[in-house]
Amino acid sequence: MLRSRTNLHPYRVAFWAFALLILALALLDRHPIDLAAEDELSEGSWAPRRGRGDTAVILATEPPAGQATYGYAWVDLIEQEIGPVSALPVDELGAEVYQSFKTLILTADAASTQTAQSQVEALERFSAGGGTLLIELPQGPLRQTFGADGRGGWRQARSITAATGLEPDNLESLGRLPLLVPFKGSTEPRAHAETLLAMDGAPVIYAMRRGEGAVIVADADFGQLLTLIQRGASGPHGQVQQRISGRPPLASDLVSDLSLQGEEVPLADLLERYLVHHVLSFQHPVFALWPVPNGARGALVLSHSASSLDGRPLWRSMHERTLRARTPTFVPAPQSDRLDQAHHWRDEPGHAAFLWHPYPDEAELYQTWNLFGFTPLRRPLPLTEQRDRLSAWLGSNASIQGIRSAEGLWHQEHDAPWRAMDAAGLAYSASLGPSGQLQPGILFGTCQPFRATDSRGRPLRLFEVPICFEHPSDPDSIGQFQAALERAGQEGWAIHLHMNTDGIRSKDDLAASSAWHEALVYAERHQLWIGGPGELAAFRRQRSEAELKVRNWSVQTTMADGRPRVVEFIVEAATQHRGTHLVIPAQLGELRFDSVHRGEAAAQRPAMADRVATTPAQLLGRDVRLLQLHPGFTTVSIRFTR
Amino acid sequence: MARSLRQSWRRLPRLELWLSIIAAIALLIHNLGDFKLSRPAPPEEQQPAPAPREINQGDVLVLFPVASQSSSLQSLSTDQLWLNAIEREVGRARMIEAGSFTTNNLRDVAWVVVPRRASSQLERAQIDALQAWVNTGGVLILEQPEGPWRSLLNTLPVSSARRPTRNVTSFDGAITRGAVRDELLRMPIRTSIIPWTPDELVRGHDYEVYMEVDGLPALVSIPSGDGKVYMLLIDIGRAVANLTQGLTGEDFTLDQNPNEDASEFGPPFVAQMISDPLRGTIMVPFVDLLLRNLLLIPDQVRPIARLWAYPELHRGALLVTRTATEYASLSLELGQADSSRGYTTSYFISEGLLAPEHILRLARHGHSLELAATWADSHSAGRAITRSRTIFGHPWSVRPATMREQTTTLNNQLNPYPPAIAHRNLEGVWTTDILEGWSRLQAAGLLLDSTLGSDAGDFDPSLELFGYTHGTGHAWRPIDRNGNRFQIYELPVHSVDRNPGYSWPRLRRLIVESAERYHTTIVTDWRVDTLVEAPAWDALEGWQQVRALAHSQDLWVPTLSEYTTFLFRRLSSDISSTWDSEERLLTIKAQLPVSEAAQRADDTRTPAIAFPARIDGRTVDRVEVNGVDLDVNELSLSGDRATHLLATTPGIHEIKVWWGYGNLEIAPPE
Repeated sequence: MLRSRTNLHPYRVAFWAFALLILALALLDRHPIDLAAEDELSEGSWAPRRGRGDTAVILATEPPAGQATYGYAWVDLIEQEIGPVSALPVDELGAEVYQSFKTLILTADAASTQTAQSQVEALERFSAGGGTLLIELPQGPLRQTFGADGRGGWRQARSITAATGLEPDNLESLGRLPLLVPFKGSTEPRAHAETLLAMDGAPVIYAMRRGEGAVIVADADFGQLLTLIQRGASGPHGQVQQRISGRPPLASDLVSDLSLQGEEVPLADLLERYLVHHVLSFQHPVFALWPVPNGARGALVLSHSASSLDGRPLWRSMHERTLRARTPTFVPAPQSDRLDQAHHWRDEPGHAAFLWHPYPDEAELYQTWNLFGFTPLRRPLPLTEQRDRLSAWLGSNASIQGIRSAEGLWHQEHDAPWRAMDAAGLAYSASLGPSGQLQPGILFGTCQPFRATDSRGRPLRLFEVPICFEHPSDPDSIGQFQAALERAGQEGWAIHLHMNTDGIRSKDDLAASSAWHEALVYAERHQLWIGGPGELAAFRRQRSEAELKVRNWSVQTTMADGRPRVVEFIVEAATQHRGTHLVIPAQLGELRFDSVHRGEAAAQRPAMADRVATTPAQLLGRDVRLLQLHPGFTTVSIRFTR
Repeated sequence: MARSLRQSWRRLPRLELWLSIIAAIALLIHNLGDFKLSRPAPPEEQQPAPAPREINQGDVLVLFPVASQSSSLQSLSTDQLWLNAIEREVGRARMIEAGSFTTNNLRDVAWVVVPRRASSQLERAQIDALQAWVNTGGVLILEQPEGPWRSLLNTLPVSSARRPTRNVTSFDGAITRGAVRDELLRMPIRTSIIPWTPDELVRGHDYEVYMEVDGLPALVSIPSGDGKVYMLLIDIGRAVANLTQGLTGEDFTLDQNPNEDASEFGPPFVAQMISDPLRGTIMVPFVDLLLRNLLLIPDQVRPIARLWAYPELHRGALLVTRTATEYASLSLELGQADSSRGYTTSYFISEGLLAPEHILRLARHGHSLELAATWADSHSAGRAITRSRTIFGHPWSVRPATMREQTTTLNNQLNPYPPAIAHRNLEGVWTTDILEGWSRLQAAGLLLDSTLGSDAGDFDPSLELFGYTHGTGHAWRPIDRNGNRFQIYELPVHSVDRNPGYSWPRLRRLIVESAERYHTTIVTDWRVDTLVEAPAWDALEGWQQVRALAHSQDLWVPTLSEYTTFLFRRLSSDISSTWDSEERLLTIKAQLPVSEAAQRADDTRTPAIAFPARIDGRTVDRVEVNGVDLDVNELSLSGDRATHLLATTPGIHEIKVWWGYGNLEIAPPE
């Protein structure tokens, strides 16, 4: 009765139910329900670190929550310029530390602690006994004992105006370094101190000889300066300040100062090298491990990105392999999790690295759930799932170590991408670099690996290797890149070039490919090291694990006036890898490098047979000699004569 | 019953029914939106190969047989391939049909070539005339003679004992020495040989063996009076045809290719035409090497002068071509990049893929614009070039465009620049009947095809095809089923950057060896889509460096248009010689015309003149050009050191060459 009145036949109900279902599915297919997905984030570690070298960086103990410290930049700096380094919390400062190390760096955070300030006498004894002590922003008793009066207050300098020992060309470059932190001014210079570095004419780094050692004071937070330049600057609470609103943050939004646009010199590297090879070597020579593999005079670091998996995305890496370089090509995860695609380049997964889409919805990277051919439900793929999908697609031989954030995209939280990459167990990232509207150039002051840190300044395991030149295609950027590469070959810098490996579709691509081609030819001809960021990061890690200690030094003979005539240094080095070279200064004040002999006994009875060959090189305008270290333990005596 | 039906109809949910019908129609329209009627292709115009016309100039006379239509590959007459060989090595040949040959035709002739089929069509009297002429110092090259030749040869090979061959096993008579001669011994030779072991003749006394195939004499010389007969016991024409023109089925057809589910068969690929032994990376032009060595031997009896295959003293040629399929804007930019370096390229342009203004801009920069076409009836799916009929601007029926239509369209777009003269198939496919392909191209007014050879992996993406896959580095005219040569030239591609066999080091070697050893024309194809879809260092590096390398090796780097113009100009040039054996003096008369139009276009290239570097071990003593002595020490040598080269200018020249005592350590007669 009811059915006939309302015409509610069962097939009619079924029809409309089916129609509604299809309609609902079609609507959901066009506007699917997006489930939330979060990236897992790791935390930095403040654990003490014992390296097998002569230098220790004294850091504050665990920084208070919500506060950032910058002392780790000194650890990174020593690791880059010397190799082995120790990072110790200030409460470990004691007799054992004074005996174990020849150089101590008291970072600003550590120097502000009561523990450090209560160690003034011990620190005096350490320097008088032959140690080199660098104190950053000394306070209280430390300032009274070692520093200038500091009564000038905080001052913001415009540029570095003097750097003792630095040749004019490099000084001019250093003068372009953006001074993002103030320095502590004084009303008068410290008595008997030699100014090593001045900002706007005021001494900022000065040194005093104490007994056989020296005390060096830095009246600016160089750790913070280097951190801001290399890791980028962000706003309050670690929020990235976008230069153009209305789009996701870019890595180039982290660039600390726009004056770095078009820069051809790695200014942060230049400052670091100056701090080690001119400042820390004020009293005693600094023996270091050469920063480029195989003792090459410079490095051309190459990485590539492909926007899709089609075609031959690895073609540039495959060619570079013929030059004995293992360079990565960052490729994205496939949009589908079907693994039936067959590409011949999957036989070469060793070159593939991971191009991460931090905003997977924009790249259509979803985990989907299907019904009747419709997709009503989906979830954006977080970093680890993108990586896993790429690994599965590449096959069992894939071992993804490197990552790059696609299109230079970043996150609102400054440290979030690095922490996500670190949590995924990746070894290095090549995400910082030119992107967006900024002019190309060495925007982060370095092209060399540095350890990424979280927003509190704690180091992660991940290395960041910033890109300095991105697919240069117009004459200006090609010219800048070529000038930077030429300079890298002359002064031992690394230049990181990143190329797009999508097909050559335009005149710009042709020009960029020609620039890449010429760079490879130049690097080969000038014997630069060619490799990938992962290789360089691995070399950096190997160097830091090596041993490098000056066991002893002695004056063998003296002049009539008592000045030393022949000085011998016994240096112990141990490495497990090939391609490591010891850097020996060619000049020690009035003394010149004479020879290197194998073994300790050679110091007393040098024989021609024990003599080891060295090759000349230049480091920041100074002559040095390079000694090849073979895997294993090496003891050499290095002789300087007048 | 009727009431019940009416009730059921009333009960039917009409709204749902109508909605279902509307949904079904909407779905149909959605799926058939691009539907067009497909019309069959109109029959393609064809133009069979013309019968050769008699030519009465030149040192070398080639007799050709009476043309006859052959229904199978086995019965195909390959005699006219000798004309290709003579034209390549010497220049334009004298030609006469065997039946019309008389003693008068032997006047001022140095060599006579009697190919296999023609040899059987000569009468006894004609052979006697030839014998008398040989006795006076003539050179007769005879291929597998059949007929009344016994009087001349004292013996006759038994043609019924003919058997198939495999390889050259020795070539002691080759002028080429060293590594290049060793290459000859690797030559696959798929033809027939007639075993010949005359009991009544003594080897070394009555005859000499110059070449052996499968251990049997393949080329022997038999002295006769002051002259010599060179008898080929192998069917050289067949061997050359098999390698250059390709092996097909007996009915001249190639197998079609099944698609993925074997439901349809697609057209054959040109890669299928490559003879099995040459399917790979072939760095030696076996056919060129064999023919050059064969034709250098008779110089020792009666030297002749030759027109070198290239202008000035170029040692070979490089033709840089680019098949522009898609990515029109990149084609233009690549063209501009070439122009900015002073280079010109031959572009194979496919209809509809490059805007007319872009075509004109490329032509304006001096690039040669040629036709990349598809066959109307045998194209691969997706790349058809079509003609359509429209209603209100909407195409409702389409059919494939014919070769002539595609040629006409491109030529119209090229106006006022010269029309296209060359063709390359866009998809690397050919007609099922291979002879039909050339016949259609010839009918469309094209002069040269460059489709055969290496491909872009169309046939098999993993099949490496590189180098002389058709055994030659020269343009040649294919043979039609009636035994006549087409007018159109075929010039196979040696290097395609998209092919897995391509690498820049390989191409470098090919070019260097072309200059130093083989003097061939290397054809490269740098495809526009390679850089976009499969970029590779070697493709980029090769394209950027190849011309500089070619120039450094003294190769000629023309466009296809310049090359073809030169090819025809060389064929219209005449060269003849007289030989004074007493004085060892060769007097060469060369007539090298250049048309007024070419002169206006400042294209006055004429071929160099070549003559033997040694006669009986004696080197050239003196050379006089138009009455002026040349410094013999300045004479250029070919890579095999067999011939000297002399650059020429347009016009008529008389050149005298004396061979003296150069390297012979004997005193000159007093």
